[in-house]
Amino acid sequence: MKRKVISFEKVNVTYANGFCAAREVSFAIEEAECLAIVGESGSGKTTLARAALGLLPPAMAKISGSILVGETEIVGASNRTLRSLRGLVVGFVAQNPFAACNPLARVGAHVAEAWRVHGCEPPENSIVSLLERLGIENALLRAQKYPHQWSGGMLQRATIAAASAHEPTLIIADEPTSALDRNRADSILTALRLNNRAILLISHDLELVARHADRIAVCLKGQIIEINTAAEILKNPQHHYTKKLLAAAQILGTNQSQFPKSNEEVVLEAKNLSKIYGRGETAVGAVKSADLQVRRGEIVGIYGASGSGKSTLLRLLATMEMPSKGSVSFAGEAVTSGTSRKLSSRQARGGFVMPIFQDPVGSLDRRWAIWRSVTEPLFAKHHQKRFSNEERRAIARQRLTEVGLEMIDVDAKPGVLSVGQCQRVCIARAFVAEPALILADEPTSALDASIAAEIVELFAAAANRGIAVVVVSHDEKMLASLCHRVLKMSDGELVN
Amino acid sequence: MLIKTGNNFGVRYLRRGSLGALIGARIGQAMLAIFGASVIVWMLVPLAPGDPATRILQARGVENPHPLEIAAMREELNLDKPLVNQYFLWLGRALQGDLSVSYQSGKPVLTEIVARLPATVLLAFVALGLAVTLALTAAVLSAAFYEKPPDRLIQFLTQAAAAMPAFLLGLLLLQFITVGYGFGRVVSSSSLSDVWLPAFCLSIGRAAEWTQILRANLLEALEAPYTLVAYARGASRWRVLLSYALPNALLPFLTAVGVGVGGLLGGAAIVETVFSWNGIGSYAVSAIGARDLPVVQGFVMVTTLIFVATNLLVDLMSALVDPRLREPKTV
Amino acid sequence: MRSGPGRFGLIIAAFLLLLTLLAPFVLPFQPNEQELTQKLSAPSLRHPFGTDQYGRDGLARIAAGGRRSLGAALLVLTGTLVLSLTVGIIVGMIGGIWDAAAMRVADVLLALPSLVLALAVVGVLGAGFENLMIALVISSLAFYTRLARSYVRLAQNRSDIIVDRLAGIGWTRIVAGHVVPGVFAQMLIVATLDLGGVIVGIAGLSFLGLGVQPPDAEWGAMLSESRLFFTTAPWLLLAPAAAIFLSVMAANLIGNALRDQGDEGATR
Repeated sequence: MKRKVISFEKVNVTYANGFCAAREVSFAIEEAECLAIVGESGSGKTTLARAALGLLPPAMAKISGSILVGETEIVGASNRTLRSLRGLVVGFVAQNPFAACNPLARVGAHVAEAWRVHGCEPPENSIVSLLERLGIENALLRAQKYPHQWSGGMLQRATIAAASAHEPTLIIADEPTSALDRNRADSILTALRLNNRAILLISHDLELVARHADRIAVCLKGQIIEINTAAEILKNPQHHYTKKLLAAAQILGTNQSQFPKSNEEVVLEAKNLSKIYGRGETAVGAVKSADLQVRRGEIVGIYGASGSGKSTLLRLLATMEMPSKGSVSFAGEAVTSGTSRKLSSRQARGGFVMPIFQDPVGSLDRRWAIWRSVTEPLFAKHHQKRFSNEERRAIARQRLTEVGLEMIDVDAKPGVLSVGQCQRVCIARAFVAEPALILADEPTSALDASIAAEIVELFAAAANRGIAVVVVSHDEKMLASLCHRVLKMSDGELVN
Repeated sequence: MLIKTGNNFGVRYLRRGSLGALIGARIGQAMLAIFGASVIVWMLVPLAPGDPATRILQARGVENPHPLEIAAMREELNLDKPLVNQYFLWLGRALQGDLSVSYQSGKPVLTEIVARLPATVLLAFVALGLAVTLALTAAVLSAAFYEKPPDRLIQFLTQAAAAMPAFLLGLLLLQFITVGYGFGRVVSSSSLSDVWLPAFCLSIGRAAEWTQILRANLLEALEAPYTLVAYARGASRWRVLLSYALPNALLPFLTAVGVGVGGLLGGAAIVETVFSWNGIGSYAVSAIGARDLPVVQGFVMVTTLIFVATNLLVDLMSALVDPRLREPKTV
Repeated sequence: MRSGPGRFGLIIAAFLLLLTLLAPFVLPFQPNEQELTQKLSAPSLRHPFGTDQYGRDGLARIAAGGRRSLGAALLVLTGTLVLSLTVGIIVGMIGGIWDAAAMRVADVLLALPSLVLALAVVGVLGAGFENLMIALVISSLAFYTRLARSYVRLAQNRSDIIVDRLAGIGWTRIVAGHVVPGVFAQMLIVATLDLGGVIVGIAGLSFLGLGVQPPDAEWGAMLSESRLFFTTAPWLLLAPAAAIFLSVMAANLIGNALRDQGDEGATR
């Protein structure tokens, strides 16, 4: 039998505010094994990562049970003992590499800290060779640069290099790839498993993790409800929650329908659309001559990584920004063009197009009751009829029922709703405006997979009612499942 | 990407870029601010009631100046010209060091101010040094012992100090310590040996304000992911506090110091009066009572120059601390 | 007011307000009433805060000074808020050249330390309580206007407002419904945080003899008068000193508590 590098035995964690983040958690990781803990946000998976590092001070949380790192018990261990483990026996890789590095220090210094925090200097050339081993070219030069000058994928490699400086037996990685796109995510996880180290991988992405982990533990409300080899979990899930997670991933993985009707009216047309920021040498083309046609009832996805210009494209289509070149037409009527800074048709401000944003909570006025936000589009200039507050509440209730929120109190403020509920409220509000076109910017990226799947269904329902939908996202699976066609955006260029 | 810098809550923005461009842009801003301030300073005389020519003649001992004398004086002061020309003629003279003469003494304002400037600069800079030292020490201790007795004591003291205006503290200290125990002098010599009491009074309000700002920034930095990562790598509490949190918390602190220097300069005018400190502040206060506007002009111009220069310095220091302000994003 | 310090601030504020507002109805003395036989008498049951060099009752004068100081501080802040919100919201919404021009003027005013600017305005207008209040409004106007305008600009980029604009809601309805309530709430917190500073400004300038003219009572002016009699009548210094200290502390505590609640509201 192989040696265990870490084992949790009936671990309970209760935060100072009484929230119980882990209940009776038991598992162990053997040498060179990769265990992934998968769960949605709030499931307690991050708490487990912190507990394994002894990073939950008694003032913050109460821990019972036993956590053994090698032979050392770390529940209730002294600071000194913990420090002798951290970095040396257990390494840690955080979610967002830019946030994980001190922004004022050079990346080389960040790696060197691995030695300096333990009171010694790094051996000569060790930093450069560490970085090079993880596939960073030109490491000597790059180590002299600051984190903000690096790319996300490269910087995450550097933080992995820093975490593995002392050849720890275990590396704990908390969502190490959630800030990266799919291809980079795979290569980072591969890099993480170099040298056959044991890994505790925390993630919300079951499908991604299944390709890299040996075993998977599914975490729900602080409990591990199922733990098995990756292949078994995928093939033969036991718990209904695991099945639900897999189903969500699968629905997102299949293309439902083809858009058959090419004779439908064209709702949105963009021709040669370009947006250039800045002037002269520093000019950046955020969007470069994009052409797009969207018909009634059609769902078009635009896929791209962050910085690809997809959000700018969406703002141009929504007429929130004026193009530098090219034009946007709604139902055949030109609304913006590169020649004028003004809208050439009032159509663009008549509820023809409604946006759905990434941050649903921020899309609702936090001082307004839900009914007020939802029915506000009724007070647009082109509406003649005026409604009383009682009529507005009734309309709000009816519209909220359509998006599956029949049980919420229409007098509530957005602050008391969950993020997913807020997104439904935003969609209900969009329906009230009776738009011909909905433009959604990463509408599911703030949501957990199971809730995201339900939101996606609402867009499909909108399209069935004849509304054209354009969805912009970095989530290729979601787009593939929802959209009739998916266009790709990279470096400002839109390709089929 | 834009990042906040300079004074007042996200009001002044600089584009991220190279250090040279940054310094150039910032010096340009400072020059513009000084130019604008000079317009305001010049406007003080035309806006005020009363005829400057008569006041100057009276200052020279002519009790009831003859209309012809007044007319001659008006011509000398360019008061017969259009306002725009008046301003530029005034500016030209001011740049050559001619800030007109005091209505009261008839002496050139610049000479009077230059004679008193060292005393004010001494007071303001000792107070600045004291306030920064106090704030740094108190905030670091506060963050290190968060919600423990030292932190609570410091919180209590800063609340009390923030409610204690400099002139009030000055009066109390003067009466109880100087009159009561003979520490310091009631009428000071305006030199280094007597600077401590007034400088302490002047510094205490800023120290309290800056302690609160720095403490909040330190606590925020101690919540940042990079400090968690540092702990996870085995760093000690003090190392995390001093070499991770403190440098990151210093940036907003520096900005606050830049803004606070303005309060220090204004407060100096009152504290100088309390301690009979012979600086430009107490000089200006007595001039305001007598509506001696050229002196007020000189005082406002000089303090504005000091204020703008300190803020320029603070911004350049921020760029030295924060590579994001000076290093271009692309490799 | 959920926080302990905030509640403490409210208690002090209530006490000071009661003292200053009720005094004229309760106390047997008028603030300017001279009783020359009772010059510089020590605190007693008859005169809890003693009397001054003209035999005027200390407590009555503290109360009268409080009405003047605190009333003036509120007036200054109200004036500043009204002017800055009007200008800030208008130029923020219009944008373009008006916005740029207003902000350049504000930039220039901000280059002058605010107390120095206030001193300069008093220099032009002459000493006097009304002039002092005008000076304090002018000296903080640039800062407040910039802030109001920056809140308006931030609000314009808020997602909820963009949605309403695309839905076809008119600008006036958006400004009245979304922008004004939000910006006003934020500015009110800033003004409360600034209240202590304004009280200090009024007392400080009056102390220099640039505000209230004798015989009217005002805390800063009373401090200034008390200096001649310190050794014989220290109560003349201590009473206004305590009044200033307590009112500034109360204002700071309430302001901090409001700000913390506002922050919580913003992040929730």
